[in-house]
Amino acid sequence: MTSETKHHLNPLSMFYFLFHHVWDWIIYVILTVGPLTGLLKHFHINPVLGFGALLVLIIMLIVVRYLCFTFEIAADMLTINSGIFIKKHTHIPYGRIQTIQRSQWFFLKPFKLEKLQIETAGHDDKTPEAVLPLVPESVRTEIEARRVPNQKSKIDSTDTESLKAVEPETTYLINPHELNVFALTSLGILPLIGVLFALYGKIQEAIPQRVIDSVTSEIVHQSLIIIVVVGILIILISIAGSYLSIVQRYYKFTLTAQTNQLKTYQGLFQRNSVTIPTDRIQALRIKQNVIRQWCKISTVQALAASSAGDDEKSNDLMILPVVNSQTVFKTLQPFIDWTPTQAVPLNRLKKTPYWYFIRNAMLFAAIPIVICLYFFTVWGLLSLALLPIAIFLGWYSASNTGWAVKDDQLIMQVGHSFTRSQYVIPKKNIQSFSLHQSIWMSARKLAHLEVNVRHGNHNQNIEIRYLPKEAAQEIFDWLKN
Amino acid sequence: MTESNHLPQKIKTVWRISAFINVTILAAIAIGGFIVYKFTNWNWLPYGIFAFAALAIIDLIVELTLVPYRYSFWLYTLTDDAVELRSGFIFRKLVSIPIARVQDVTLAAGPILQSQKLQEVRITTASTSHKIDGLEPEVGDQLRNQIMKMAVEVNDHDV
Repeated sequence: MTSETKHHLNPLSMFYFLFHHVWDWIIYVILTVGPLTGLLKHFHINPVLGFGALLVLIIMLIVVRYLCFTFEIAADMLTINSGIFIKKHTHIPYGRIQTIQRSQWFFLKPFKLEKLQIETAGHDDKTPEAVLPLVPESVRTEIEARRVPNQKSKIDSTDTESLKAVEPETTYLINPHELNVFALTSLGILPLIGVLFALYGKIQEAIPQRVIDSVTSEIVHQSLIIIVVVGILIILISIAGSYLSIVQRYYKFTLTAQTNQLKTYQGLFQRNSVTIPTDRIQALRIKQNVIRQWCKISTVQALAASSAGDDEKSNDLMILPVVNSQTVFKTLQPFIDWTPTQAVPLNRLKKTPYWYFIRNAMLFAAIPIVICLYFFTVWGLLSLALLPIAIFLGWYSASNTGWAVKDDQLIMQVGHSFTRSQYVIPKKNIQSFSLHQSIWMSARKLAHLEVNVRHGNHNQNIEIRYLPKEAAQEIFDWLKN
Repeated sequence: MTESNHLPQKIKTVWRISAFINVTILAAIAIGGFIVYKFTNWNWLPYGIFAFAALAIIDLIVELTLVPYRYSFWLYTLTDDAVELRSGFIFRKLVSIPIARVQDVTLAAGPILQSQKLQEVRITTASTSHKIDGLEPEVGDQLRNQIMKMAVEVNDHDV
């Protein structure tokens, strides 16, 4: 094949190497600045000259690194060669690629350059198997083109019908109004508010006492107003900050279905895109927090066996950031053919297990309460405020617990810390499952059901608690066959 | 073949021996602490050592008394298409691992298991890992062959 030659990255990627490793360099530079100047002076060398030489050395290292970094797009695998002293060759067969992630800063758009991250299901921590920091857009097209025929050859003749059924290009574009609501209802503002309040406290500490005294004496009678104003300001800034960050992240989110793969495209300053084969999706999670439940909007994420994702905490692959709760499955159907066509009615808990959820939440809350009472005695009573929250959380978990079996999928719904998640799991992706029961629960004919699914590089266990024993056993037996 | 099996009787010996080995390690740490105390004047250290030793002894007693309990409620079932592990009486747990999902089976035996002619079996799926503390080598081999056979039949279990 003609394309089996080694390619270099775009020369601009040297800047990427420079900035990517800038922190490593800076530490060395700072550590050595003093001694080096002394040393240079000792040998009567102009320090500027000496540091100039150091700079040249760094640049040379980067150039060498750039020259050593090559990639080949061969007929059946992608090979990446890197390393100066330790030569590293990574070979990735196209069929093993789970996701291709690309990100493009707005200033690179005119140059048609982007960063590619290629992941397989390999158990490598955090880092993707291959990162191509700056390559022309054509590289991705070429890799993707090679990946698709590979999959086609795998498909049996019986599947060709379903292949035809999939429209070559189905797209979904995020609704700007829904995105606005989504951004405003993020619970992410809560930690942000905390950070800002902490920052405010720090600033207040930093101001000399004398200044505060002179100022406060003037406005002491207004202090309450000031506190309230500052509080409101902080909350407003938090909301604005979280709003802007979410909007810029999901700006013009697009989901496209191509032959057997899904492609997302999102972002304002940095356009990110992820491509994933549909059959690699392990399960779907439909998530809403309390406020979004109330606004009737949901988020759909895919659980996949690669760590490509954009949520800062987890590796959840966003399929639909925001969609009207009523039309979730209708919107999903064209993209993922195995999902139910409409919301499946769930089996719910009876009223008695509610008490167990509430009891457990209260037991959890009891720990900090006891500690507070012990240390702060009377003031510790304030911690009793945790109790109603715990009761609400318990009630929330219980009332959101649900399950259903539909065709070849298990649907499990759980409520956790103000967020409701519904999982749609095809039976074939359940790696193992278990039934838990304490001796007391057995008397009350209740059981927990736990299901394990591969998610990212780890295991995701999904557990519905305190469901009737027969229901749990029924699902268990269904999973067995 | 589908009925539940207990682990081999000999596993009790293994558990007992490993409980004693654990306590020996803890004792070594306690003695080490005592030696440190001799050379320093950290007055709080003896209390720490006593607490530690007490914990070690309690741990040993609990582990030894729990051996029969663990044995009688730890069951495994090997069916044609799944491995089931059942454990506990007060906190009951029933795990099922479909053989079609199994990625690999590891048979391993340390010195204690070797002395009893047993093998530890570890079954790994794409996301979870399950351990059977000890099996007769024949049963381990049977399990392995069954899983290998199944893995060849069900070739398309992509993650």
